[in-house]
Amino acid sequence: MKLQQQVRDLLGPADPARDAVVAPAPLTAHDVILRAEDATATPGGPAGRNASRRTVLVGAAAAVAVLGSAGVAQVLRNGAPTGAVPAQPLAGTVLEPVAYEVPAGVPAGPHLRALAARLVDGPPDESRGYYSYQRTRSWGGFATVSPEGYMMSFVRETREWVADDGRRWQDTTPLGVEFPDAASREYWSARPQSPSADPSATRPPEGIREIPRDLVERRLPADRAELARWLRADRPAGELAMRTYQLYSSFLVPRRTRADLLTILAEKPGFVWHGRVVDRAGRRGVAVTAELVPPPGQSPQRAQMLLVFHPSTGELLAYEYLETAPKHRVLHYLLVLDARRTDTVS
Amino acid sequence: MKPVGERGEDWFTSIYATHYPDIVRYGIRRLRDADAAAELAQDVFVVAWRRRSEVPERPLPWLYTVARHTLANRWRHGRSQPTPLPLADANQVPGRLVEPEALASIVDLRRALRALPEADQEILRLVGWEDLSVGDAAVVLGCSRSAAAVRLFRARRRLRSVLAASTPVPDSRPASAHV
Repeated sequence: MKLQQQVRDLLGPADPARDAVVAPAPLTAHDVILRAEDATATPGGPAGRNASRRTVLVGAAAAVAVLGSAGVAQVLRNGAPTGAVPAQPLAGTVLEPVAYEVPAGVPAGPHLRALAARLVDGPPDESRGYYSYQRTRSWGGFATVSPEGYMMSFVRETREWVADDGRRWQDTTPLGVEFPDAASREYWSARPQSPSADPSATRPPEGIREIPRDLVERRLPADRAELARWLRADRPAGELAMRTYQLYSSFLVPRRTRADLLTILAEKPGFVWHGRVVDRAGRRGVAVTAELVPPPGQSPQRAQMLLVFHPSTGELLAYEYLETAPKHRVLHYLLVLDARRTDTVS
Repeated sequence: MKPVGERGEDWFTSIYATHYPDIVRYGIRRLRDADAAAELAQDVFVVAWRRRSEVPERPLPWLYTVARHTLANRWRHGRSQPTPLPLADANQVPGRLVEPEALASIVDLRRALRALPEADQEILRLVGWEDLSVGDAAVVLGCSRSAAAVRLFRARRRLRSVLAASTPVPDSRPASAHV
């Protein structure tokens, strides 16, 4: 008890929330219950009660959060994007989907097996060091959604180091504004002070900082069977595609595991081969897609998950979450620009 | 909206009214702005309703646990994260009148805290700011009470070491610049 009081006495004056006045909750308890009960509820909650805009997770993160009950991320209200492009649009890109060599696609199984059979070593296999290192660039992921459904998000580059003992460091650099469609850019351009979807996106970079460890130990699946369990290979192909993205977000994936992964994907019905593509970094890769479809009677939203693999090493180069209905727009895109081991956090 | 046992809307309204500010403050201490903290609190109470059968009689440590997991999941899966731990921001000073000497010590303290490993920071925040007992902090951290007590002891010792080793902050500005 004495120690606890000493800590309180020591830290109390530095408490950032010590004098914070907490604003009334934007949702009533009843609204929160409705939101919790409604698996397909929009994050903003019932109309009229919520704030004029909300920041939401879109793409894989949001989809993962709701897949267990709803199937597909429901992140948008119904928008009505119309009108001409404004004379002075807000600076920022409108994200376009990746173009395919084979638009209609063919079953991916044979192609993925062939790729798995010819993999060569890549940087994760050839590098050495105490830290796993990954550099990514993402579009979307965290977005501001207007009450009408118009979205605005940010491009950002992230570097992350993970030590073998589980400590983690991250460095995030905001690179600009992006929109999933022209109507959203038009909408937000008309606002003299467009809000920030993520406050960190409009601040200067902070440099490298340690971030919380994972709450559970991260361990790369040891063999194909364990990998299949980790990926939840019994689930539909669209979910398997998202788990693939999460696998690469969580680990440096060695060649053997990459081959196992491609073999598991090859055995899963629903993956479509689109041949050669060029990712947003200008790198050549090969692409597969899988549809993400909610259970019958639930959300009307449909999505397509795209995975771009390196044609020789089989590493994941890019991931795209494309909403295909009710709107056609990219909600999340990620490039894995560098993945290897290193001895330095810098 | 079927209640679980006696846990219907009245029960939920009560814990929401009682603990919503606690969870928002938890967020303010770890996120960069009040909007993000309010978002976090809403997410926590959505989970609380869905898992109401698991909420203990004293719900606050459990709610902090959910908040901690929610933040960690955002970091892990979103990557486009709410930026936590603004502890070293010299500009982030209390919103009340503070003597210049006290302000400098607050800035030093936040910098020292940020210099610690994340695990040390969290046990110190839970006890020092969330005002939890060691036992309740152990619930949040998912460890035994004795393990939490040892963590707290060592974290406090390391904090004092960092504070003792720190030199005066060269760029700390007078309180009048901020208040």
